[in-house]
Amino acid sequence: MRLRGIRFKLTIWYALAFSIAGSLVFLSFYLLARQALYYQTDSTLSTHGLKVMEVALRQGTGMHDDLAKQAFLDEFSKIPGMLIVIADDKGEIVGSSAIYGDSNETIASLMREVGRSDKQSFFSQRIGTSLLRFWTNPIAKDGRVIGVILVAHPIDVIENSLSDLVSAMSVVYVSLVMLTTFGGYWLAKGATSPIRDITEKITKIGTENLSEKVDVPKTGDEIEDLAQTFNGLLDRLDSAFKRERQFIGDVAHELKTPLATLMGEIELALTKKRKSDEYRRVLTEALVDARRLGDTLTNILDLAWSQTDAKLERVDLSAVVNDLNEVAKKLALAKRITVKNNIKAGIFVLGKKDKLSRAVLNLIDNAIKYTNEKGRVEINLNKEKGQAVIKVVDNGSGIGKTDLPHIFERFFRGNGPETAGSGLGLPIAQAIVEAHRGKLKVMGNSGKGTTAIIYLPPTKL
Amino acid sequence: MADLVVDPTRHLVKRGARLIKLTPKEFSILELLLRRKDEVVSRTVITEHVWDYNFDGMSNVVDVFMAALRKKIGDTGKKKIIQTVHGVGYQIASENEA
Repeated sequence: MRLRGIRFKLTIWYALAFSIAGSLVFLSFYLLARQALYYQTDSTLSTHGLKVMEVALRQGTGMHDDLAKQAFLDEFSKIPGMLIVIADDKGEIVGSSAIYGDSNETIASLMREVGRSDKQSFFSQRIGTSLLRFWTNPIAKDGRVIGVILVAHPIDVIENSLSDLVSAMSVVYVSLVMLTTFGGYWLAKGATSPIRDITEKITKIGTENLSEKVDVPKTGDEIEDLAQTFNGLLDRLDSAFKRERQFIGDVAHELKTPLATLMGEIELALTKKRKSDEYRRVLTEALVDARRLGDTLTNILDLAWSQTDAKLERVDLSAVVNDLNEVAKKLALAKRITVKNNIKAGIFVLGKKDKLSRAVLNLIDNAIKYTNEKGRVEINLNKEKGQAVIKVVDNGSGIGKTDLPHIFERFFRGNGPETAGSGLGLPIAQAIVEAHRGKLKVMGNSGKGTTAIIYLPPTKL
Repeated sequence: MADLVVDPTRHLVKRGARLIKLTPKEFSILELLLRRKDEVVSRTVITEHVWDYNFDGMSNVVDVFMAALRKKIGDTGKKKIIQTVHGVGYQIASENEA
């Protein structure tokens, strides 16, 4: 067992807390029992003592009459074991029911001692083999102390009972402490075993099986929370990891060929000495290629990271779409496409301005790309049921039935016209819209044009 | 070519006596090129200046705007006011104005 483990610590704390609480309870029980027993004895002693004193006072000087004295001592010594001694003011014993044989000397010295006291007192003392409880009281007549009375009773029974009680309680106490310790250990084991299970499971999770999950105990307690939190973390790690892999794959897929071309161009140029004009031409072409590579890389990065950074700002969507409307008009010029718009002012969303405009521009770019000369493109921005809705409609070539399920796949290029792009436009737009907790819908009929709609949740600012 | 007049305070552009209507974006492109006369201004710089964010991966947007701008200011002759620096960007060189 680990000494620093929670199970061990909990057990120790249980045992310690119980031992302290248990000893306090048992101790107070013992003290109360003891006090009750002594109180009982003391009150019996004093009651008897006071009665004896009353008789003694009534008989007055007759105390010295041996017969009378013996008679009343006999009467009061009917209680078994009860000892009654009366002494005069000088401490000399004048009467005694002593049955303690050799102990008379002890009693005589006791009497001399208490004779000086003028108050009643209780005390315990051992005489011979037995322990006695004493009560003494001065006998006063007309304000003058004329003697001392002493009443005693053996309390061996009390002491024996008390010591029996102590041993019984000790046995109970020890077994209770042991029980608590084992119980505590068992409870702690029960409480920590799900944690151990989770730990074991997590140890087994590596990069190759990130999609595995920790079992969530349906206990509704902190352990369930912990397991769920772990699963959430695993989910995020898994998707981050997948994104990373996808990114690497995309980079390899998309950049390898153009890079090879670029290197080939440069290598060819370097095979022999050329005129500066030729170098210039090669460099310019290389720059164009490099720029295209950069664009592609940015696209792939956009796609990979559109879901990550979460710092959102209030975006004037109306202004963004208006800007893009102008871009659309310019893009449409070459094909003499008519761009119509219906952009409602004052629509705001929470998000990233550049990413959002990127998504909308991709839709516009597609619309113009796949629309024939003198066609028509429509850009709308509206508010429906609190959502901001951007609609890009064209009457172009549309999307074939076989292509439609694939339009959001990376690098998918439909069998459309020769103007095919990177194959990343729609996936990027979708990723951006989804990162804004929105939805992108694309509907198209081959030959009848395409409609792309972005739904964005309303701002709450 | 000195007949092109740009008034940045009033957002006015004149070619000779003809008043040219430019959109704010077109105007700010022209203004940027003039302010950096004789420098080659890259597409990236232009997009960041005009749209305050960049159209990464869509550098042809600038070309489209440039084409529109040229058409509006009648810059379609053989000797152009705005020159294309292939693969890099655009430039307005002073000797063309002289």
